[in-house]
Amino acid sequence: MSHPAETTPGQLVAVDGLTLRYRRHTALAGVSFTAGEGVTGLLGPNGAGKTSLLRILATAMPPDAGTVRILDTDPLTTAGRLATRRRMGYLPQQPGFFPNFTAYEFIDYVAILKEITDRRQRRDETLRVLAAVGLSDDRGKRIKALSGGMRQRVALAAAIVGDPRVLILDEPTVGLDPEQRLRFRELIADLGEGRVVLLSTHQTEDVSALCHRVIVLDRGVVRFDGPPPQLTALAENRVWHSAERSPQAVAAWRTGVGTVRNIGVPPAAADLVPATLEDGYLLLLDPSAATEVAA
Amino acid sequence: MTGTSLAPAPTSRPPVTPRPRGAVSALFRIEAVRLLRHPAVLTGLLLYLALWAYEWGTGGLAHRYPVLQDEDRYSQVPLLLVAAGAFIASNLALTRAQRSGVAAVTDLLALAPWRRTLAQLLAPLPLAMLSGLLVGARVAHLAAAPGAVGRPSLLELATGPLIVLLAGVAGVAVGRLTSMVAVGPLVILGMAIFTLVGAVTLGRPMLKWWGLVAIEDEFEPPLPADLMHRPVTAHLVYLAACAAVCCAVALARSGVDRRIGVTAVGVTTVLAVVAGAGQSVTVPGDVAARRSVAEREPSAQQTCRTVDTVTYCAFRDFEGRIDQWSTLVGGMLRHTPPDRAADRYVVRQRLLFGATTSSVSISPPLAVWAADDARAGTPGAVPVGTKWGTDQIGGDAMLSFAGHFAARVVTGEPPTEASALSVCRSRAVLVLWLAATATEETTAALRSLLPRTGGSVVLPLLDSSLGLSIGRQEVSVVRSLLDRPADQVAQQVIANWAELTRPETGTERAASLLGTRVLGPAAEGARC
Repeated sequence: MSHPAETTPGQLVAVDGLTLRYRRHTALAGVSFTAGEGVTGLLGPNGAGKTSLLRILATAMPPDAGTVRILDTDPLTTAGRLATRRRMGYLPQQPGFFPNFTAYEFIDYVAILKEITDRRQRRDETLRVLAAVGLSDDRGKRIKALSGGMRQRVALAAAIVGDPRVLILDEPTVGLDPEQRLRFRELIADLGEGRVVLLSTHQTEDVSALCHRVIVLDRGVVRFDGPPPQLTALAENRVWHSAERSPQAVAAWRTGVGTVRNIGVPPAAADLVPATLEDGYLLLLDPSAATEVAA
Repeated sequence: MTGTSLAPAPTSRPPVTPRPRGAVSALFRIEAVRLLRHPAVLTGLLLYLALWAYEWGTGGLAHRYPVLQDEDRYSQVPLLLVAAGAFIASNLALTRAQRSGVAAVTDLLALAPWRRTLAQLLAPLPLAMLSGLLVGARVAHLAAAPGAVGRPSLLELATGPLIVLLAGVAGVAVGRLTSMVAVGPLVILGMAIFTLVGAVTLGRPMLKWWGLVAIEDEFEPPLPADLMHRPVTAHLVYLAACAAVCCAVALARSGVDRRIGVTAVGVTTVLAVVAGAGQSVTVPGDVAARRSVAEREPSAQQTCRTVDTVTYCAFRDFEGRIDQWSTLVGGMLRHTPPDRAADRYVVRQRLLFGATTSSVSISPPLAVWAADDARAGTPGAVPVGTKWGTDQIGGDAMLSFAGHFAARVVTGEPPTEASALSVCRSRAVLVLWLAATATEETTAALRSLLPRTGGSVVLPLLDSSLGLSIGRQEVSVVRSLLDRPADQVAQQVIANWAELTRPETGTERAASLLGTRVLGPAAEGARC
């Protein structure tokens, strides 16, 4: 039995024992964690339960069991849900747009739905977030005329309008080219100052670059919760470069310089190289290495 | 990279105070403007204006004689175009979030879905008001026409805008039931068929009142406003109740408290059914009694005015028509000898109920009318109906009145069975020529009538069985006379008046006196 989640000073989001089932499939199996200001990364393979977890936190659906507390309110109650929604921004995995609206009109529309009713305040806020995501010059363009990256920025602007204390970003960099991803990293890093940002991603580089903390979810269970260097440390002394692939390696691939990067068991005549967060992540998720890592 | 810091707002910035009502109001403004700018609405408005402009541009309005208590309801049908636009636009606006996938975000924002729906239900209001302005402007335009008579009903004028509003909220309600785009056009098609069925089943008038627009049999002559019976108030209540049903359904589907939603849908549906059934089409007893008096003894309800030697008596709503009657009568008397033109004549407006709807031609109550004229001190009055105009209905009525007035001048008797029978041969030529040359419009009316009649002409008295029957030979003489200047023919008419008006003067003789000849044989079985 789980106890009600409580937030302590600095912990603005607290999740305890969250469970969610889709018929026979268990999406979340007793997930618990807390999060404070800054960017918290949520890593995990497809089907790990990341999106389900974020949708529960975003008040899109209730869990089957467990408790949630966000900014000292319980979003699973009617009153708490409304209070949470008033202080939260959510960028779903596949945000939709009104294609015939201009970027300005769309953000203005979202601002109204966030109950910013004063016309001047709404205009200022709309212009502010559009400037923040670098769309000031394109605010008059219809969304259907914008590129994929620009649309993603419109979606981020929609999430941050109203200056929410908690931001939930579900794979915001998917489909972006490297330059756009860099731009997004800058935006998200800025957003993490003074806010709780929960960032779901497949990109370990994003986590390394942005997050002060990372939670790894696998098959509905939290497999890791700590700072990124700690996840990287899981792979310390376990990454080698060699000429040949190690048959016992957890993962091995030929790099651009022609050597093979082996994670886990080293092959003969291998050179130990510094580990990355991705190495730690891969090692963590490998069933054969799981026991070893846990130990 | 970014021009503005994304750090949390400084504490000095005023926090957003939750104001759901203000958000509804702001959203309403945005949705209302988008609705007004929607291509479907703009198309409806443009078509409405195009119809009006076409009528104006082609001179149709210059030759119209609008009866405003009928024009008010005619304004409703063109507004169906705007209503269709409102339905499509509001339906698309409501389903926009679902269709574009934005609902994944907007459904999680602070403003509750039912409040968003409320804003969208309010959004068609400005369009309805704009429709009201359009209707008002059109009726004002018609009222400014020289031939306009009568007074429009505010309730009839309000019906069109209410239909637009109903269509708008219906679009929202349907959108709340399904986000399938194809449903909207299907609903419009269904409503169009229902309205059409209501229009073509005039024999069962109740059916049409369950639709949006209750179309009347436009062959019926216009009536004074106080003799009309259309359950307009009940229809407005019915339409408003239907709009309320749509609002209740839309809100119930948007997450309002289930009990409240179900109750609202139930109550408004009952209200709509009761209001629909309350649209009584049976003419109330007091209206029927007033109609009977107006048909048999109208003199007490009429106002008379004398122009030159002719006294015209009209129902109050039709007083403006006296100028047109006077112009027509003056045009005929100008072609008669001075002593006939100086005679005292009376024209009295008459109603004859059932003449156009009855399957059997009905006889006018001439004896009752004569008694009424005698009581009013206007014996021998020539009846004139309420139809007037240049189309096939109004133009024929105009020519018929001219014919009966001409017969009064030629025979010296008011219209009776006997006097109608006495208009034969030379008299028939003279009567038809006088009627046709009264104004340019009567000339045009005769030219329009002839292709439809096979050569002969019947000029009925107020659509009754009593009429002047002008044979083919007499008509042929008049046709040839119309090819000559009327003043030239008039000189011959005046010079030969005595012989032309004698009952026994033949058609060939009349033609000869007027400088023309008879073309073709007389029709078989001709009355004269």
